[in-house]
Amino acid sequence: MTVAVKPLVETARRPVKGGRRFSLNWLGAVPFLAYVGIFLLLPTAIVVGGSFVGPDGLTLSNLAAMNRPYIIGAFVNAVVLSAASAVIGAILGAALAYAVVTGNPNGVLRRLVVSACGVLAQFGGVTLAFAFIATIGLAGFITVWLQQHGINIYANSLWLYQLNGLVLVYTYFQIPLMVLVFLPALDGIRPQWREATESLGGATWHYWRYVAGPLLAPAFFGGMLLLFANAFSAYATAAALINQGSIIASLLIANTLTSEVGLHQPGLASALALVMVVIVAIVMVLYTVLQQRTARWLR
Amino acid sequence: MTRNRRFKLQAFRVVVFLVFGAFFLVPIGAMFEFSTRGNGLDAPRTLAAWQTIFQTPDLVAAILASLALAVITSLGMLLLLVPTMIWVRLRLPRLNRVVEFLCLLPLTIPAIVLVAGLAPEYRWLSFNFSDSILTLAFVYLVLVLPYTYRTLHTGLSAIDIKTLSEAARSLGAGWPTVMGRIIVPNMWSALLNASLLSVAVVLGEFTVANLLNYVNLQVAIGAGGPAGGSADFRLRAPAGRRHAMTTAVAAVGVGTATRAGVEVRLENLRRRYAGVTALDGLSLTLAAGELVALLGPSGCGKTTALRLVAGLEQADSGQIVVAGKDVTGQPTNKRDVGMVFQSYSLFPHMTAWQNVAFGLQMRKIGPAQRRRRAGEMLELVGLSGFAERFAHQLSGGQQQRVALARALAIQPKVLLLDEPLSALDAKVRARLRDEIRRVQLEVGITTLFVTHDQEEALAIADRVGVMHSGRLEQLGPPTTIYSRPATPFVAEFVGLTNRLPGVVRNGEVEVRGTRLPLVQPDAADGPAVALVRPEAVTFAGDGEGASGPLAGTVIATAFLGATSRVTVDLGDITILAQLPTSEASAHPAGTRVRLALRPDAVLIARDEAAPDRA
Repeated sequence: MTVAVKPLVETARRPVKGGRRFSLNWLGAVPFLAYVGIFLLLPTAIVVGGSFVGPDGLTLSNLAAMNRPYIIGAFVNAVVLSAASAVIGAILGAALAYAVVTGNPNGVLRRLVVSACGVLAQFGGVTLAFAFIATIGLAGFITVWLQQHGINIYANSLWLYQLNGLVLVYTYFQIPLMVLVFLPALDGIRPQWREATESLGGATWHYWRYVAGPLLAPAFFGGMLLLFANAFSAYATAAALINQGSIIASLLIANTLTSEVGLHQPGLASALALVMVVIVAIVMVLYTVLQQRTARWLR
Repeated sequence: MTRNRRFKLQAFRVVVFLVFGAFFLVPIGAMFEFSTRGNGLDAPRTLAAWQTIFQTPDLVAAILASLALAVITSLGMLLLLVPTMIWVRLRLPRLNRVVEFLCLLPLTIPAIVLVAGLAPEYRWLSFNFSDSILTLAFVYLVLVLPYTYRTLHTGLSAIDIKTLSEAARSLGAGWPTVMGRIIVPNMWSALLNASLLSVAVVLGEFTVANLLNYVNLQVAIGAGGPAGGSADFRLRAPAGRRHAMTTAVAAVGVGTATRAGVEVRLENLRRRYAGVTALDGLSLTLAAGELVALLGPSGCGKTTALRLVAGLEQADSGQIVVAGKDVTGQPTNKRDVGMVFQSYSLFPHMTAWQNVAFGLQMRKIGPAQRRRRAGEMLELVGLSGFAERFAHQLSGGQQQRVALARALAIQPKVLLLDEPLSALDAKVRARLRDEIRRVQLEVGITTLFVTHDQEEALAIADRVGVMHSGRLEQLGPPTTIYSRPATPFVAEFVGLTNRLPGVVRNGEVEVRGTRLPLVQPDAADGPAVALVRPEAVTFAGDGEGASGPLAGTVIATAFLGATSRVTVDLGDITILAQLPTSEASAHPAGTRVRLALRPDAVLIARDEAAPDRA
C-alpha cells in the first residue's frame, strides 16, 4: 500500500503541474499556427509537391521543363527587370532617404514623406499602370505635350509596354520602399562619427569611404535585395501593362495556371512557382544576414 | 556644421524633394486629369467617368466588396495576430522567433505562388470559396501579415507588456482587463497603423482576386471600367504591338612621447543660434601643456566654445589661435586637434586598434607603423589586450579609453574633451578621470575639457573656467574658484552654499549677530544675502539651553566619509554645516545646537536667483 501511494504522490508534484501549464500555454498560439498552416504553409507545400506530379503520377518532367528556352527567357527577363529596378530604386531611394534624414527629425516634412512612402510602396498594380499610361502612354499627358514640341518618345518602340517600361514603372514603388527600409539605418549614423573623422584629419570623402560607407553598406545592399525580391514576385503591374506574352516569370506562371487555350499545366505552374520561391528565399536569406549585420553596428 | 556645408545640404534637399515630388505626383495628377477628360486631353472637362462608376452596378459592387474585404481583413488581423503576439511574448517567449518567421514568410512566397497552391487546396477541402468574394479575406490575411507584424512588433516593443500586465494582475485585474485597459490603450497607434496598412494592401490587391476570378476594385479598374470609357485611354497598349590629409607626420613618435604642448588662444569669440547668444565674447588662453576645464550649466556656451576650437562650428566673430597661428577659418580636418566625445564616437565596424589607427591612415602613415603606434596608444590607456574587440564588446569606460587613445594617436596640438565621462557610472567616472589626467600629464598636451560636473572639473584641471550665459565668469585654479569665487554665480554653482540674509555695513556683512568680512569690501551698505560655505559653519555648543540667533535643531545628517553634512533648522531658515564625522555623529537628529560662523571673507548676492545645476 505504501509502495503504491509513493509514486503517485511523486508524480503529482511539479512535473505534472509544469507539463500541464506548458500545454495550456501552447493552446494560446494554436489559432494562429492553424491559420498559417492552412492558408500559407499548406498551399506552399502543395506547390512544392505539385511540381513533382504529372498526369501519370510522380515525375521530374515538370522540373526538367525548366530548361525550355521560353521559360529560361522569362526568368532571365524577371531577373533583369528586378535587378535594374532594384539598383535604380536603391540608389534613388537612398538619396531621398538621405535628404529626409538630414532635415528636422520631428519635422512635418519628414512625417509627410515617410507617410507618403508607406502609401506609395503599396501603390502597384493596375492603378499604377494606368497612372503611367495617363502620363507617358501613347496618348499620355507628357507624350502629347512632347509631340506638340516635335518629340516622339515612341519613335523607335512602344517601350512603356516592354521590359524597359516595366523598369520605369516599378521604380515608382521601389523608391518609397527603399526609403522605408534605409531610413532606420541612416538614423543610426551618429553625427559624432563624422566629427570624429574630421577631428582625426579625414575629409568628407574619407568619412564616406571609411566610416559611413562601410556602416551603411549592409543596409544599402540589404535594401537592394529586398527590392529585388519585391520586383521579382510582383505580378499585378506587369499583368496590367502587358497582356500578351509571358515576358517575365510571374506572368508565365499566371498564364500556365489559367490559360484556357491548352497551356493550362498545373504541374508546370507549380514547378515554375517552386523556382520562384527558391530564388526569392535565397534573396531573403541574404537580406536577413545583411540586416543582422546592420543591426549589430547601427543600434 | 559649417555654413558652406549647410548651404550645400539645403540645396541638395531642395533639388531632391522637387525632382521626387514631380516624379511621384505627376502620374497621380495625370490620372485624375484623364478621369475628367472624356475623349482626349483637348476634350472638354466632364465628370462622366465618375458618374459612370456610380451608375454601373458591377463597379459599385466591386468597390463595396473591396471595402468590405479591407474591413474584414483588418478585423481578422487584429483578432488573430494581436492576441497571439501578446500571448507569445508573455507566456511563450520561445515561440517569438517562430511567429516572427511565419509572419514574415509571405514576403518570400509571392502571391502568385499562393494562388497556385490555394486552388487545389480548396478543391481538396471541398470548400466552396466561389460563393462570395469575401472568402478572399482568408488569403488577404496572409498577405498583410508581414506588414502588420512589423508595425505591431514596433508598438509592442515600445512598452514593457510583461511588467505592465504583471503589475495589473497583482492589483487584481483579470486577463480581459489587462488586455482592454492596459495593453491595448498603450499600443493604439500601432493598432491603427496596422489596420490602415491592411486596408491599403487589400484595396490595392489585384493578383489573387484576378487569378481566382473575383472582381474587386483593382480587377474592375483593370477591366477598363473607370478609366474613362474611351478607347484611346485603354489601359493596355494596342494588341499586336505589345510585347588626407596632407599634413604628414614626419615621424611617428615612439612610446608615449608626443610633441610639446602649444598655447591656444580664444579671442573675443561670439556665436549666436537663431537669436540666442551661445557665446558672448569669450576670451581664454590655455598655456602650453595646460589642462583647462570649462564648467557651467547646460546652455552656458562651454560646448560651443569647444566645437569652435575643433572647427565643428564657425564663430560669428573672434579668433582662435593655436601655436601662434590663426586657425579660425580652417576646416576641422586641417586643425590638428584630437577630440573625445561624450559617447558613441567609436566607429562600430572597426576594432579597437583599427579605430586608433584611423587617424594615422588619414595622415598616410604606413600599415606597419599604424599598427605599432595603435598598439602603443592602447597600452598607454591600459587596453593592450583589447585591440581586436569591437565597440559593442567593450564597456563604456573602455570605449572612452579607446577614444582617448584614438585622439592622442595622431599627436594633435590640442586635445578636446567634450564631457567624456558623463555617460559613465560614478565609479568608472572617477577612475577614468584620473587616468585621463595621468595620460595628459604624461603626453604634455594642451587640453580643453568641458564638463558640467564641478567635482570633475576641480579634480582634473590646472585651471577651471566657470561659464554662465556665454560668458566666462571666473578663470582660476580650482582652489581659488572654490575658496574665493569671484561672483555669486560661481559661489553657488561650485560647491554648496548657504544663503543667509544679512546687512552690509562699513565693508562687512552682519549675519544673525556675526560680522563677516566681504570679498568685495567696497559693496554698498544695505540688505544682502551672504553666501557662506558649509565648511565655515561650526558647532559652538549644544544642549537644551542653546539659544541665540544661530541656535537650532539638527534635522538631518548626511554621512560623506571623513566629514558629514548636518542640516540645522534655525526656525526661519535651514543651514548646512560640514563637520568632521566624529563631531557630527555626536549630534544626532533632534539635538539642540548653537552654531558659529567662521570669519572667512564671503560674497554677497542681491536679488539673484540660484544657478541651475545641470
